[in-house]
Amino acid sequence: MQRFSHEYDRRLRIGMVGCGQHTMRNILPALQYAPVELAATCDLNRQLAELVGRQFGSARAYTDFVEMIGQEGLDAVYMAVSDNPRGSPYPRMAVAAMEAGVHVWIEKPPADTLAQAESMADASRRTGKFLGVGYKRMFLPTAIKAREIMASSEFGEVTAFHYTFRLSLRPHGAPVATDLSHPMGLVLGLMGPAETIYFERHPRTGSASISMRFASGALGNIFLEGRPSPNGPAERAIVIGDGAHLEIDNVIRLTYYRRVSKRGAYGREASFIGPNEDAPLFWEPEFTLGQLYNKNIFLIGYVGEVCHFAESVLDGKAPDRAGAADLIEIMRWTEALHQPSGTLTRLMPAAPASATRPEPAGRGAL
Amino acid sequence: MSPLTFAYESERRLRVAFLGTSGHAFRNFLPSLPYAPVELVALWDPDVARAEAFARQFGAPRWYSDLDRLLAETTPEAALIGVEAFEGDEPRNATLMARCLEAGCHVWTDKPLAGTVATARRLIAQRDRANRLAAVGIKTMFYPAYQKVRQIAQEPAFGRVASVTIRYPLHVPTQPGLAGSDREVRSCLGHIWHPFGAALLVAGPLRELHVQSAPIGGGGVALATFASGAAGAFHFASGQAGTSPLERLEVVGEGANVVVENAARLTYYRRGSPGPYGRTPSFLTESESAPLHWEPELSLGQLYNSNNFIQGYALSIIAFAQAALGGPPLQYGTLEDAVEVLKVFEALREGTRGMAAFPAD
Repeated sequence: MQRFSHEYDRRLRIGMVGCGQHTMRNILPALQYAPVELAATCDLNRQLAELVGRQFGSARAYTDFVEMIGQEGLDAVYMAVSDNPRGSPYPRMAVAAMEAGVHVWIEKPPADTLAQAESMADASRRTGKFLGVGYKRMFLPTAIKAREIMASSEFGEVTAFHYTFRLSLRPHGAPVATDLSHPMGLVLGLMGPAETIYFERHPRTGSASISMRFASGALGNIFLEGRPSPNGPAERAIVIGDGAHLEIDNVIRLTYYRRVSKRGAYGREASFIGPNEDAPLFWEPEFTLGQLYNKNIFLIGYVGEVCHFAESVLDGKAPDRAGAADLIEIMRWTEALHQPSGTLTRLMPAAPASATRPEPAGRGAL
Repeated sequence: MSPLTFAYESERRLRVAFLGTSGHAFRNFLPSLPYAPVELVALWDPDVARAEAFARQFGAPRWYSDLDRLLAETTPEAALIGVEAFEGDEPRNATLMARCLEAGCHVWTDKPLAGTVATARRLIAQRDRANRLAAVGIKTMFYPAYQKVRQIAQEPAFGRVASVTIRYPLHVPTQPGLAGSDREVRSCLGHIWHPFGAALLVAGPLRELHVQSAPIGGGGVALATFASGAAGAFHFASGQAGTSPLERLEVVGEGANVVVENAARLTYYRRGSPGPYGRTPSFLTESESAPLHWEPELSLGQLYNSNNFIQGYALSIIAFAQAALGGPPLQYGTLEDAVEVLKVFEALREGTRGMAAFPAD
């Protein structure tokens, strides 16, 4: 059962860095369900830090997060700052915060380059402070359920994956990397590390067809849509097992097409309705009651991601999902996808960035 | 809808006190306040520790267990009420609204406003004497999907509203009872606002209702006639699976109909022909008559896919606050709307199996 933040026995004392719209709509509301106490907020705009902080019960506001860390005796900071056209601000800020003595959770896009990601992982190792990244799709309730299904013997070995996502891939040589955190967070969360990536990119729209082979042996096809109408769901994922598959539609609808015990005679079956034990299972949240399970901060993974980081810190261990190892894996993929269209990249074997690197997807692996 | 102004961006903010520390308040009402032109100045609950915890969580600088003291010391312009308690047969909301009107506050309360039509009418009289605004969070009246249905139903192309069907798992009392002592009746009073608020929004007040309670499962069905002449059918699907969506609403006009599934999926079947019967090889009609379909994307952390907006909570509070600040007057969730809903409740409370008539006031 989900607890409210004031109901936890042990809570992290945290500061919020960045008080823009995303923080107000999603991150601070999500933290109201995490084992944290919001001590202070920080933004370059002090008035904004005060106004937003006050709405969520924060006592003090700062414009300098290092000063906030020093003054407030914090355990951790959550960072959600504006995109910067000159590049992700998180590598510099996260390293400074860890060096100032706190655990750090950062929103996406976490970094522009693999080297920047490695600098954060190095700082985490050096300071002993944990790093968490806002790969919210690893915490979608539907993705968590999908992983449970994928790990079941009935699903069989995970063999293939297909994912469409509304995003445009930036061209080779673009000054700032496309933020692939959203789609690749789900891909890594479901399928684990990859061995190869090949892609082709539409030169005008940035739509891209990406083929991946995962360390588990499963194959993946990721389709970045480029410029579809914004007036519709943004994603759909299908995972194929061996005789069974599942589909996540619009993040909230999960259908599990189970293994069929006995196939009907081709061309001779008068009804599509089979026995109950073969029937697809279908989940979709009801949207009538004011519940937690139909709140977007739960459905889209915000509560899951901020809670997982806080709980990991309280347990004294690095996050086993959306931590430094996952950051490095996704940045390796990102760099591969910024090669010229048509490039096949053979990724290096998984580096020993962390003892918490997720195992490859497959039966029992998730 | 034009972009929302956040609370801290509003030039003029209504100074509000929030009364209550229910789970509903934590999940839905208090999280809606950053999107309304309000400033939360105090929080009240009989349990001062809970009042403090909620106040700290949602940024109220002061908290109280004594309502009179709160009203005297913080002098809020408005009170927002979200409690889940009863005093006898009446929801405490009614008592609190009366007290806050007396103190000169505008008042918004969660449903149920009251347990009887008479109490609601007393509150209307008090509201008018105090010259204050009073509103009820009849959330279905603020669903974006149901608001769109109302808009569609008023378009000439839709024709007149001919019939309405609404599914909702309402518990229908099987025998006469009072909300203070009868769980069936209390459940009915707590939830009746949802289906009948929706009906009021899309088809107006009822003229007659013929109810049949189900001997199994606690639900039932009802046939209705609206004052407009439209026919209505209610399916009170109590006894359904806990894993099921709760609601479905359909309005049929003249050659067109509109359906909302699960509060979030709206399809407008526009006037159009499927082609000659038995001779049409494709269901894909001309684009001009194609059904229109809306469903929120759930990938981005937006307002439109937050349940506080899909389910109308935030929009109800925003409309109230804007009206209290001199903006557009309240159109929905008025005490008069509450009277219409309570008329139906009074009929159901009597364990009605037969026809109830609702003469216009």
